[in-house]
Amino acid sequence: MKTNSLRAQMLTLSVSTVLITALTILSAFWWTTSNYTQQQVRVHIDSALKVFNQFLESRQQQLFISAEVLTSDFGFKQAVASRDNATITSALLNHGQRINADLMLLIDLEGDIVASSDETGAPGTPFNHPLLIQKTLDAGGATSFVQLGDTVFQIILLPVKAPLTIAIAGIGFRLDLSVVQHLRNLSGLNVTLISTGQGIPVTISTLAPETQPSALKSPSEVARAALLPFHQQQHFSSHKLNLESHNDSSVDVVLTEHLDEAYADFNRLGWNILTISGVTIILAILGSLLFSRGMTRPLNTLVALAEKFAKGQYIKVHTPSSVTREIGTLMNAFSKMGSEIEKREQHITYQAMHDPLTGLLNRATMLERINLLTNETGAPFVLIACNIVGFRIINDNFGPTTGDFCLRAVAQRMTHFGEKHPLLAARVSGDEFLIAISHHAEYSEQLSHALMEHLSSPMTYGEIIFTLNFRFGISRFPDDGNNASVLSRRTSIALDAARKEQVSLRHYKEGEDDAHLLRLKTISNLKQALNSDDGQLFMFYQPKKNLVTGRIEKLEALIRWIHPQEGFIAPDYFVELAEQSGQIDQLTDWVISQVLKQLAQWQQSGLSIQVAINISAHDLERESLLNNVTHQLSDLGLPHHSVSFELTERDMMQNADLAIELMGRFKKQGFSLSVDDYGIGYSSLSKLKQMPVNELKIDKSFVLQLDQSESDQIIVQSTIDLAHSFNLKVIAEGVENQATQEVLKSMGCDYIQGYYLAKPMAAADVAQWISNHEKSISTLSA
Amino acid sequence: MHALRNRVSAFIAHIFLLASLSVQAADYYFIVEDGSGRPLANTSISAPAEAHSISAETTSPQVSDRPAIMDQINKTFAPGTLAISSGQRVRFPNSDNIRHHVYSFSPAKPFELKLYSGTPEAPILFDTPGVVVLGCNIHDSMIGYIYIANSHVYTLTNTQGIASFKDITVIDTIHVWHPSLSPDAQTILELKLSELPQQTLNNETYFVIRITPNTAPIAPKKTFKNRLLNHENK
Repeated sequence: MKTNSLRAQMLTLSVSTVLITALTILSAFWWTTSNYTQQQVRVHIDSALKVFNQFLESRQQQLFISAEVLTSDFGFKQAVASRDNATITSALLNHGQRINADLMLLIDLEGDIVASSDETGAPGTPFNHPLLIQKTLDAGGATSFVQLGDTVFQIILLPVKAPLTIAIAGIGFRLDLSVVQHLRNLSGLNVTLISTGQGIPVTISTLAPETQPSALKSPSEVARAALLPFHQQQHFSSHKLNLESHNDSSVDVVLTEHLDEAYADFNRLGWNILTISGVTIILAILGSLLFSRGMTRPLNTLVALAEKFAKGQYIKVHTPSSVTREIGTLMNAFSKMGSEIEKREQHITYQAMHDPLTGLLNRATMLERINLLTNETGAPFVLIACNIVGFRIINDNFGPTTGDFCLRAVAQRMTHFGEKHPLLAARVSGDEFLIAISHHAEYSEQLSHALMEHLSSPMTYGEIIFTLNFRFGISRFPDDGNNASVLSRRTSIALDAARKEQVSLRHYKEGEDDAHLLRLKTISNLKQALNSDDGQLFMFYQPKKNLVTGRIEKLEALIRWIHPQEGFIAPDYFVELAEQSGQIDQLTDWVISQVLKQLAQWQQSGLSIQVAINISAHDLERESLLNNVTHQLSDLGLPHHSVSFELTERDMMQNADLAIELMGRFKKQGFSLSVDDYGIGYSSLSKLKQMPVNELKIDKSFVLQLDQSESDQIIVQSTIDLAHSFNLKVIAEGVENQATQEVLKSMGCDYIQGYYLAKPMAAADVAQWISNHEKSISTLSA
Repeated sequence: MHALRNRVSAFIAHIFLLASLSVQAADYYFIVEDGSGRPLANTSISAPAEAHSISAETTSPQVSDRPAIMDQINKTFAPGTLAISSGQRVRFPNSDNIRHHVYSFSPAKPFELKLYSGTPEAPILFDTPGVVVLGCNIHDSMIGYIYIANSHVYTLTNTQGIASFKDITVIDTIHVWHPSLSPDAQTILELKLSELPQQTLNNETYFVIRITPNTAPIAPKKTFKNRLLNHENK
């Protein structure tokens, strides 16, 4: 089990609780019990001492009484006074027997034994306790423990008064094993009597001989450390009591407590506690296992449930009644959470799939659904890209609330239409919708028209009645594609075409997509070509001839592109694409830098010529263009008049006033400007008058068949006259034969440009061509 | 009483002296002090027997017939010390209304008398000079002394420690006795007068006798017995 599992933790908790409790109890128990045992021993010894003292005292009392009886006896007094040893001895013995004394002595006032019942005290020998004698005489009596021979006696000495003290009588009781054993019985302690210094040491003990030495040496206090459970170190506790000591002799009694029993009790209790603890631990383990199982099972259920939730399966969970309240609450909360999440998920999914404003599908979902239709059912349908014409105007004029209303109304109508003709509808952008309608036998165009009619019927918002106009771009499944991305792209192409062609309903035409894709590809290639500048883009130059002098003074710079893979790409095509895709800036700049570099090269080689660069209205508006050109010219050391710019009439007239101003800047810098493709745009003559241009270029459409077309001749002539009247030069482009050239010459046209003169050529060929041309002119004039 | 008797004896002796006219007579004054210089009463002083030969015919019948009295009053011997001459009798009347069992183990006269109140006993003859220590078997605290002089010349000092012999034959030694002289109270000092210090008092010359006690106080206040019993009562 890992240590951080619930089960392990609970187990650890319960076991450690029991262990700690048990250990605490054991230590507390040990502490108190050892205290208690110490105290017990102390108390025991104290009480034993009291008993012992009491016993000795009462014996003393008894001795005294007996002795007194003896010494008060008249007959005894008489015997003593008689000084007859035999009489005295017999009296002693007799009286001794009366009182069960073990020793009878009569001692004279000099301290010598007169008579004795014991053989150790021979008459005439001194009684070896002079202090006792003195005490008896001084205090009227004495009691002591004395050793005579190898026996210890408790004796009383009393004076024999007749009526003055004539002798001292001594009565003694033997202290032997029976006394000691009696004491043991009374006190409960082992008793040892030790007499030293009065001859051979005497020891009388209730202890067994082998334990005596250690027992007697043992301390009177029970050391606490000695009372460690199951580790008994101190077996005895002894307390010495001194009964008598004179100089170097002493009689002591040692009371010894045998600790084994205390220990036995102690150990027994200890074992009990250990056993109980052991059992409790086992129970605790079982209990905690059970309990933790009760906890972990529902938790595991919840874990499994959580995993299901994670996968998005919001299963309802049933809370069993056997779980704890908290677990039950948790499980209920889980359930609720699951259903809430499910609801939210559904809501989010809905929102993810639908357009919030109209409730229609959104683009991504629509495409998915379309794919479903294409993949699964295979049933034919039309895909309509629907756009509201002029919706922005409504939004701007009536406010976005109105706009929103219109959108919602349109969506509703679609849905309504869908009741009869099952359809999928989506709002893919601001005012653009995508509708897929399956058609079975009905012709799709009819269906589309029916839808348009339905949508176009007037709608009322407040007090305003709207009639919306729509544009449809339509593609068909399976004819125009078999998956959503192709179909939607083609539908968009169709819609774009509808916009361009200004029709309300336009089907996708085959190949348009390809053309569209080609355009996209070309744009991408152009970007790459411009960035890499690896030579796939290059400049051709077409000479312009001065009709009067016949000399070549100007060239038109024309861009050419030969793509490594795609090959030749028509300039009109890719330039228009550049304008649409926002690459025109980069393209124009590139052209300018190419041309200028080329000009610099020509100048170095002695060719001084003006090159015309085509620019768009957009280029005109760019401030950086002008600066760029002037900088480069100055860097290269070229005069401003070496470059001129051609701008189409159409571009000029797009925003004529702005064009006039911008062109003015060019003019100020000293650049020539030409109006390109003149005659086919929407020029206003008044504006033309204001244009700061130098030259008009007559569009080739008028020039191509000039020699044969009278109407063209009239136009051209009047154009030339008009231009001249504005002080503008004229150049005709598209001159393809000599006849046309002659016509133009006669009309007074200033310059010509065209295949008759020269096709656009590479820069490298220009110098040579010009020199050849010069030669031919001189030959002609010669 | 004793003094009177002494005086009478002395007077009679003096008459004898006058009658014989052959023997010299003198007065002797004595003062007895204890070890600390205090006067010691009830000290017996007697002239030794050699100084006066006492023949049977010179023995005064009055003297030898009249018994001395050692009474028992209030559980005490009265007098505490009685001085007699040997050959004298002593009566023990027992004036208490309780029984006394008087005894003596003294070598001079061992005897015992069970004395009942009101039942007189015959007087006891003390014919050996020495000291008799009297005790009562019933009452341990009763102690009395009888000093038996071996002459008719004897006296006891008074409370001032003073005693005197008047008009006796010249002597050069005296016997002095006090219970404190020995534990068994049997020791009698024989002192040479010439060795005694003298002291002049009231125009008389006193022989100063110093007696140093040779025993513990006879009746200690706290007996061994009391102590033992007290111990028991604690």
